Amino acid sequence: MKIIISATLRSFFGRRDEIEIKGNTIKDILTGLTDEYPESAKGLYDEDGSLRPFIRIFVNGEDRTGKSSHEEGIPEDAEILLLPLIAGGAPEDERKSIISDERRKAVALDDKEIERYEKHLLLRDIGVKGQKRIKAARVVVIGAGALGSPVIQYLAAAGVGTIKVVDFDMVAISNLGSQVIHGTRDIKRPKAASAKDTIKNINRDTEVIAENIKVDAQTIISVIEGFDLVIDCTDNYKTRYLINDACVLLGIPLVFGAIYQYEGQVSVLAKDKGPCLRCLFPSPPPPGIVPTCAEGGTISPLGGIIGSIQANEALKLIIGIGETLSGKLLSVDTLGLRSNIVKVKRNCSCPVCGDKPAITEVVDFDYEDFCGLKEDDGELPVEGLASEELARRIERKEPLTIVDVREPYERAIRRFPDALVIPIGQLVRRQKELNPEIDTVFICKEGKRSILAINTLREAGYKGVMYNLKGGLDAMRDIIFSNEAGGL
Amino acid sequence: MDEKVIRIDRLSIFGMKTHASLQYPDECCGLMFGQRTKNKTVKIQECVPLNNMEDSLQSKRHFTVSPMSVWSVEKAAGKRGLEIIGIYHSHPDTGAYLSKEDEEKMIPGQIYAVVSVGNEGCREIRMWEKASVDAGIVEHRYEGAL
Repeated sequence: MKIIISATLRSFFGRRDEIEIKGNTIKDILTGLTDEYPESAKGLYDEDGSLRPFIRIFVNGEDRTGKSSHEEGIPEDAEILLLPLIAGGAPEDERKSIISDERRKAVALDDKEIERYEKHLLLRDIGVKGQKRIKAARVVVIGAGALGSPVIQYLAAAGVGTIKVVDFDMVAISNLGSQVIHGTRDIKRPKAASAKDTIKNINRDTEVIAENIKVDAQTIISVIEGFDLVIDCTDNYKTRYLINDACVLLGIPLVFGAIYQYEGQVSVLAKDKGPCLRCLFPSPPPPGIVPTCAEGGTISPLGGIIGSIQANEALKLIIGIGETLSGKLLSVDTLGLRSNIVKVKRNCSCPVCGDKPAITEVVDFDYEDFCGLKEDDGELPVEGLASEELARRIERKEPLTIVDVREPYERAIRRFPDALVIPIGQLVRRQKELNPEIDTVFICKEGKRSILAINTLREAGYKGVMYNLKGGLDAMRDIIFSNEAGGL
Repeated sequence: MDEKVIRIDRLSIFGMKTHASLQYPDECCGLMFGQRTKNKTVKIQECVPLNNMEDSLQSKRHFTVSPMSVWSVEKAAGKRGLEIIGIYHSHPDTGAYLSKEDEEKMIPGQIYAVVSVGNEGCREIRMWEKASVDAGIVEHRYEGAL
């Protein structure tokens, strides 16, 4: 029998347009086709062995794809066609808002609000319905720093009904370079309170909950429970994984953002069985390898760029429009002005959102250990030296080698006098420059990379006495040497 | 899969856009014909509108084309030396991206063009292809050519 194959399906059959098969039922034909073209089996059948949804078999103009007629005889002169079923649909699920219609209907916009949100109401896809959803929304922003600044301000300006700001920190002068939600007058005030004032200044109608607490396994659930959306604006891995896990467990979508030097990343996690942070990054890098924002620095507008994208994603989720970053990771490089999106799939063996999750409660999981923040029992502990003690030993002119393991650009900010400069990558090669008879102190900015330095040297076989400057140079700031601040 | 170069005739773009706008707020669909050359260039020279078989309740969000009508259009084009390149359809009031349903029902080796259309007219056209059953879906860039 002659089978005529539509051009759309010829790639399964070596681009043949007609194939002769012996037999007189559809079953014979299908078996014959896969016998002759074994490769075509994958094209014709899915994993369960049923015909793929786009395959149709027509005999004399009649659809005979249904299995019930596969055994029926076919006349010798019949026209047998293998045709495609072309079908599809507009995205529906993605358009669903995270705010239900009932909650939307429960709020109303007054005249003042209609005037205030005019620019949103002019957009057909937002309109009154979308603006009501924004008003009904309850959002938690964790971290009121560089990322939190634009996120909080744009959400308030856009009319989000309830915003909870969580941050344990105080405003410091070094924050003002990028954290535009705070001003000079806010220095030494809690960031959460300062952010609340800014929100109230933008939009008096916003209900603000300012929480001046540290997010940990004990507090996270009560921080986010009952909210529609969480926005992660934190700067460390431990908190990021903690927030991620809590969001997955409570089923609250999460807008993730991170910045480092000139680059940033955004993703929407834990949304409708989409991937989570652990699917994206199964584990954090070892401590000391990647400096945090506080150590590595960021260019001032970077938080504004990434945070604004986070706020935009949040509004898209609330309104239910567009293509969100769920299942995708956006990376932005502001130096080359390039961005790209990679697809991320849910990992079915993910410990928190996989098919058989191992983590069912955040309090059971050891985040300190997971992020390598605990001292390893197998490793010899690193002897620490307090900043006061180091100052005393320098003043007494005790024999001491001080090794500065920071990068050249960091030293340009604050030089440590009389220190031997060996960036961490050169340590092993240059260990001969150290005298094992003399006590050696390792210094860096925060006292974390110096631990890595000591462990690296120990592994390389260095036998001398090594100390770590606790808290790094940041802890040395307030030490004043008797000889005119010692050049610090 | 290597990235292909797709050159699409401007009249075909116009045809797709017009079809999408005329059918709005319903979904439209049709076939794209042209030639595949050896140096990975695909030329799209003609677009043929097809009927959406979905009823009026479904046609705002879904489309299905009768296989026999695909066959008759394909046969006629073949006689003129045109090869089927792929399928276009519209997404009324949504972005030009593949929906879950689109991805599931995608025929390997065919280029899928999605036209995002709204009240104001066409917004964007994007094209994708799944090279084989096991391959991932790749977006193709295209250029207009007269």
